[in-house]
Formats: sequence, C-alpha cells, structure tokens
Amino acid sequence: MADNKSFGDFIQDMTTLDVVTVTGNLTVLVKDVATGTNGKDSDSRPLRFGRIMRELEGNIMKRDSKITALAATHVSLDKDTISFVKENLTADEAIYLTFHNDTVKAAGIARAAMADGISKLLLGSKK
Amino acid sequence: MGAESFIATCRELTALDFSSGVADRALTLTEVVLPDRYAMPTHAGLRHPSPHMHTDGRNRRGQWHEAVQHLTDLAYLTPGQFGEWHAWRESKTPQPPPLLLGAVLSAVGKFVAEDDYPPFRAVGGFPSTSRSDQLDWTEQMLSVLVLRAGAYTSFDAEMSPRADYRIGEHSAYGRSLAYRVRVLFHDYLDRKSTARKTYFDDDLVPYLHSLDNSLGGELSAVLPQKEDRLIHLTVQALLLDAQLIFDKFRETHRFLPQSPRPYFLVYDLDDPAGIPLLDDRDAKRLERLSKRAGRRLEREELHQDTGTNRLGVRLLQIGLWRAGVYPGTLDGIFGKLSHDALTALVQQEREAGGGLTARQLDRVCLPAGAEEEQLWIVDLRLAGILLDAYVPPPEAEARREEDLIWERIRREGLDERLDDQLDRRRDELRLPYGDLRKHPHRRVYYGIRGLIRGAFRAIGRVIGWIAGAVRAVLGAVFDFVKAVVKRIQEGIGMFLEGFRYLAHYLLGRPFVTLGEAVDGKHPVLLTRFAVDMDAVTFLDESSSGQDRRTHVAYLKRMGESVDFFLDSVVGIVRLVGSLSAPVGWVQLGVLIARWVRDQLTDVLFRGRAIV
Repeated sequence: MADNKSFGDFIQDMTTLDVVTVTGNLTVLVKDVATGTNGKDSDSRPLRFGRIMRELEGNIMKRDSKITALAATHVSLDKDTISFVKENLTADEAIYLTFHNDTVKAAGIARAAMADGISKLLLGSKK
Repeated sequence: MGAESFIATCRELTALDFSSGVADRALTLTEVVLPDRYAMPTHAGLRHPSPHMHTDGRNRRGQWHEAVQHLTDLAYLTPGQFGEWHAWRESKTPQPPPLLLGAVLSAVGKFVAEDDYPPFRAVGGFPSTSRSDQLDWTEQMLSVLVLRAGAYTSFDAEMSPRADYRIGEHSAYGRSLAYRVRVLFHDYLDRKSTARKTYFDDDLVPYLHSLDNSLGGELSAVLPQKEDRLIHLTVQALLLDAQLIFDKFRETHRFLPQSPRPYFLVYDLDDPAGIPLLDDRDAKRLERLSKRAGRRLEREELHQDTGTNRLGVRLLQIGLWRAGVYPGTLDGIFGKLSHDALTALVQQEREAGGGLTARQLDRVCLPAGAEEEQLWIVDLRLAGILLDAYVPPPEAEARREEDLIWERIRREGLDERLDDQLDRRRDELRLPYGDLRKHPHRRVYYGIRGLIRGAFRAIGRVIGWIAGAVRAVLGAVFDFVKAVVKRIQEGIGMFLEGFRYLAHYLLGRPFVTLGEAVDGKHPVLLTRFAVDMDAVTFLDESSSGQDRRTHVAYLKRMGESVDFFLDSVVGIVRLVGSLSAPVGWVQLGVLIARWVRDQLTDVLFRGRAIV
C-alpha cells in the first residue's frame, strides 16, 4: 500500500504504467468455497485472497523460488511504450504473451479508474 | 470494531490515506464486520461462484426474494416457479436447485433486455455466456435490479407515464401495465387459473374501459379504441397510482372524506377475530350501532357491490397492504385476513390518535344485526379517511418523517436496543404471511415511502416494540422493520459491491482467479494494481488457456463497470466520512441507502430515472 500521499503525489505516480507478468507455481486447495460463510478466514471457511497472497509471497521469498518474469511493459504518459519479453520463450510461455497484452489494456483502465476514484474522493463527485 | 471505526476509516480514505493500516482496517470492516453486522455477504475476493445465498446472509436472501417477487409479477417467472422459490427458502439449503436458479437468471436477463434503465448498460450489460457470469452480474447489480423492478410493480406512483409507450410492445413497461390490470381485475383463486397476459395488448384494452366505467366514465374520450397504439398519459398515470384510482372511486360514488354520506361494503365471515374487549358502556354502544347497521342492511340502504371485479374491495386491500396490516392476496375477496387487517388498523389508530374520533373509529367496521348472520359492514368513507393517513408521502416528506423517527429513537435512548431487537425478533414478521408455499399469491409490500409513513403514523407503537413492551407486529412495527431492512439491503448491498472496486483499484487488493482444479488443487492467477501504477500479474504454470481467458474476462468485466461502482462507493465513503455525530449501525445503513437511492433516481445523471 502506498503511504499517505497528496493528490499531487498521486498524479506524479500516474505518469508511468508498469505491467509485469510472472509465472511460477502456486496452487491452492479450496475447501468448501461454494457453501462457506463469508468473512471468516479460517481453514474451514472459503479461501480469501489474504491467504493466497501470503502463500505467494512465501514462495517468492524462498531461495529456490521458481518465479519467472515473463514479460514487462512500461508505458509513459506520452504513450511511449517499452516492452521486455523473456528470451527464448518456450511454446508454452509464448501463449502467455497475449494474456500479458490483455493485462496491459486492463491496467490502462485501472489507471483511469484510480485517477477518477482519487479525484472523486478528494473533490467529490461532479454529478 | 464499531460504527465509529467505520466512520473514521472512511474519513481517512477521503483524505487519501491509503496506508497499510487504513487499507487493512477498511478491508476488515467491509469483508468481516459489515457483512456480519448487516447479514449481507460480500464477495470473498475470488473469481469463483459466490456464496451470497447462504443462510448467514439473510438480508441478501431477502433481497433475492424481493427480486423474484417482482420478476414473478412482471411475468418473467411463473407463479409455479415462485412457489418453488418459496419451497427452496424453507429448505434452508445454500443455493436454489440449478433449474430454478437458471430460470431466475434467465428472467433477470430478459428484464434487463426489455428495460432501458441506463445503469444496466453502464456495467456492460447482462452476460450472455455462462451461468456463473450471469450470477455474478446479478449479485453485483441486485440492489439496482430490485429498485428498478420494484418501481415497475409499485402502485405508489414510483414511475412516470411514458409518451413513447405503444400498446403491444414487448417491454418491461408493457409487462408492468399488464400486471396492474391483473391486480385490478384478475382473480386467481376464483378462476382456478394462473394464466395471464405477459404484455399489455389489445385484449386488455377493454379492461381500461371497464375501469373507467367504475370511475365515472370521465376518461372515455381519451381511452384507446380498437387498433389505437397509444394510451393517454392520464390513463397511464391512473394505472401507476392506486391512490389516484381510489380518489376517483370516492369521487364517483360520492363518499369523499368531507362528504356526509357513508359508503358501505358488506361481507360475511365465518371466523372473525372480533372486536377487542370493551367495557359495559362501550359494549352497549357497539350493540346499538350494530343493530342500526343491521336495520339499514335490511332496508337495502347499503351498497353491496363494487363492480364485477370488486374494485372497492381491491382498493381497500391495497390500502391495508400498504399500511402494513394486510399480508394477504390482492384479490377482491374480503376474507378473514382483510377483516383482521382492518380491525388491526382501527386499533392502531385508536392508539395513534389524530385522525378519526373514537366514535368514528367504532363505526369503521361493524357486525351487522344478529351475530348468527355473520355479516360485517365496512364504512368505506371512514376506512378511506384512515387510509389517507398512510398514503406514501412525497420523497422530501418521507425523508423528514424518517429523520423524526430516528430522532425519537435516539431521544428514548433506544439506538442500541434497536440493533438487538432487529436481530432477535425479525423472524416474527414472517408469521403473518403464513406458509407462502400454500399462499403463493400473497405479496410483501416493499414501497419505502409507504413503509416510512406507516411507521411514522404510529411511532409510539414502534418505540414500544423496540423497548420490548409491544408484541403486536402488524401495522407500524411491520412497516418500520421492513423499511429498515429494505434500506440496509439497498444501501449496504450497493456499498459492499462498490467497495470491491475501491479495494481492487485503490487499496491494492489483487484480482484472483482460481483455475479449474487438477487433483483438487486450483491454479492461481492474480493481478494486482497498485496506486503507484505498477501492475503485477502472476500465473501458475499449470493454469490452462481457459483459466487465463476467465481471468482476463474477469478483469475486463470489472473494468467495464468500474466507473459505475466507483461513483457509488466513493460517494458513500465521503458521506460516511463526513458524519460527526455518533451513529449506530442501523441508522448508518439507512443513511447510506438514502444516498444510493438518490443516486439511482437522479434524473440528470441517469437519463430516464425511476421517478
């Protein structure tokens, strides 16, 4: 999470957009997702994102982590785009690129949403 | 964490404090505290079938029920399917049977396709793909869906007449008009049939003429004739507002409130609840009144017929239904439920005061003549005056009355007690409806302005109920609890859905998709957008192409509706953050709901709005 920031700080942050796609191993056992009770994060309750994030962060921190950066895209405010793609992609990895590109588009929407949300929080809705 | 913590957190978010402490607290409040406090579940943060219909989320189930009732009345669902829904609710199983759920989702899809309400389009439209996507969409839009469908079945003038409506058109509005004709004319019980017209069409035009005849024929010049396509706005307005019909009915039959003439309905009853115990003097007076009524009945001075569709009875039933005392069917049959409703209203008015005098109240509903004849007489003029006090007020007036209700609760020091009573005694409200599987044509009244007016009219009884001194449920208590519950469903439901967007886009909460399980284990796909604009996506290597498509579709759909939901949630966060006086959870829910309703009915923003 970002520290407490001013509106100007947020605007400054939003001049670039970095999208990274990584692959690795993370599967989860889901107990009772369909019928569980909301709001309680225990083993007998539906899985919540907090546990997934903890598990993922645990994997990344491991010395023998197999997390691999597959592609990265940097977009600046003037729409200059720089993309990085892992060398020697396997056939399996190549099919992730489409996914990565879709995520770049989604990130663009997210940026607009964030800017909109922040300005409305600060200034109120214009409606 | 209490309501004050929620208010403080909203204040911090408004000040753009997205630090980890604030974000964690905000997430805990919206994912743990609020769902528990308001019995409104929220998505667990995963792209996976949600558990919203679980019994723990009774307010959510209640909201689903309201949606299904409206969709049934608009003929998107059959009465048989509504019966199955009742059966499922009684079964307490987490999800409806797949076929029934499929039918309900199809009904939602058809309704959305036939309605021109802009917010439905603002979130990308109803998915035509999988049931899972359709369920997600419906869950997200449930508050909006209920509000909109509720306006189509309301008799409280929640909707404006439409100049562009054409007879026979296949639209939600056309279904709404057919529903109104059904309520005013059709009678399932007598005809032993559930057949019904889906849309208003040429076959229903004669009913407009019949209605006009019952109302004095003033509109005959503007009524549609054969092959006409338009319905005059005045006629549409009449169908949308039961009070307008009742006023015309009174005018035609010359028993307006100021008129000296009574207007009587006569009915027989095998097993009346009777009249409360009276002292000797009152009992003698009642006996005299009863004898007098019996003599008038013998001299045939009484009106015993209000048309083949018993319009007078139906209008009385609608009035009683709206006043919170009648949980029965709007069928024109004045049976025990209608009788008990009227006597309950008279009793409530005796306590509330300010309307009819005690002597007038005695004459509203009387046994006629000898007891064995089992005939009862309603003075519809007096009953009408009673019901006038329960007519839904204009929005601003309803708001003022709601504020006064809360002020009184605060003054009596009952804020916390109310939370407790609502928790413990809400199930008592289901009792008057009986087993709905056996009575599938009974309807819950959901008009918020009418509910507030009913509660306000007999606020003393509401206060007594909160304090534990009043046991009677029908009437003001019924109205009050339903109003509070409806507010919570609408406001908190919308807030929790909206907060998902704020969490994902501003608080760094990842979008997580669980892929199809292999050996019981689901591959994880997640995307996290941070406020500093870094976006990270992680894909488990075992995820399939379909899993990735599902995740992208999830991101895309959230992106399509982010504007609509961020608008809502940011507005609510600002509203809550601006509160200074201590506010309890229930009242907080009411304030949020008001904001939501204002937004959804905002003409300027939404184009064709509800009101």
